[in-house]
Amino acid sequence: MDDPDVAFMLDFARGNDEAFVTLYRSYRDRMVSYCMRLLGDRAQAEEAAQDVFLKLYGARASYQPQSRFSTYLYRIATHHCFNLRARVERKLVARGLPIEEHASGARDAADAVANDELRAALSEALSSLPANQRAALVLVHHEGLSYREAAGVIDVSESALKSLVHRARETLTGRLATWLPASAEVKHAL
Amino acid sequence: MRCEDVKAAFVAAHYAKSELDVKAQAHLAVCVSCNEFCGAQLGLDSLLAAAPDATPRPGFDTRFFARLEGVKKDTKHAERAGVAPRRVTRWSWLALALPLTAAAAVSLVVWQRHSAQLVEQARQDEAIARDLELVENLPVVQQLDEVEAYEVLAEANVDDLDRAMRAPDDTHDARDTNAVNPAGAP
Repeated sequence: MDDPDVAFMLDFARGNDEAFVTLYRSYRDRMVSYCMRLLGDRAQAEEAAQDVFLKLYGARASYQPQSRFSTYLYRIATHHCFNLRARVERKLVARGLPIEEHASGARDAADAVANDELRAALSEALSSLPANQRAALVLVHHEGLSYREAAGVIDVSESALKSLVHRARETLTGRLATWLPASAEVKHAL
Repeated sequence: MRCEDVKAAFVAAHYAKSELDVKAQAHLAVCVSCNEFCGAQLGLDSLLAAAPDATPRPGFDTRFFARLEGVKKDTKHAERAGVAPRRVTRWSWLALALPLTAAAAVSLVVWQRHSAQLVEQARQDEAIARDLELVENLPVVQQLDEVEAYEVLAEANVDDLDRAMRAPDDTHDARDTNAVNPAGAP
């Protein structure tokens, strides 16, 4: 497989810890951003991103290159964030609290101080999406993965992934209607 | 072509960076609803761009490498001991909690049994004391001295008793004489 990161991972699996540090430095920011978009909370996202790299460290012995390295890493991150989010939601349900309220309240202090209403609305709208729709949208839109790669990350078919992205965008369009420009030239996109 | 198909094709083509097929383009040119949807989708792109990438805060690397060192130590320790490295999961607390709970449950059962035995013992003692009190109040027991006297009589030699009944005065006098002249002098 012609992926230099796979070669680094194999090198790390053979015992070269420097290769792991190289991978960490390459993907650190992307993982923090990705976890932030899935979890909606900066502190939780940083902790989750660190967990992802620790899981990667622990998986060196069992690593089998079957896809691009980024797909492999995003898969670890996605499943970890799904689990974290599900855990938080279970706790909220157990306490009788609404899930969306927590998600919108999970923005960190910096956002609150900045009073960026648009960002807040966007964060709230993203939080309202089901976990798989949110991951599908973030992988394709923000992380720039192809449909096939993103489908591989969240273990669904390519057509199912397209459907998830479509539904996510439809929901966001409805929730952010007041922020959308009155008219947009469709022709520019074609 | 149905509106739903055109909308889905539009989103798919948007991310695939491919052109919308001719049929969909023709539909879009005449369908107000699809046109609005696609316009909103383009607007959504600009909104999504408003969410910037999150960069790790200062100290992120320090915290991470400290955690990594901990994992390495655990791994080395486990390899030396010949056991699998300790995995910290959300159920790990059960490893400590379960034995403690079991020990507490056993202690509780033992304590309850011990308490029950003590209570039972006290109840029995009280019953015995009550019985003794009742027995002491019985007229028979109050005349126990007399009963004991009868028992003494029952054990006595019949001939001695008979002799004593026949000549109580002689015996009495002889005893008195002995008392006056213990050496038996005339």
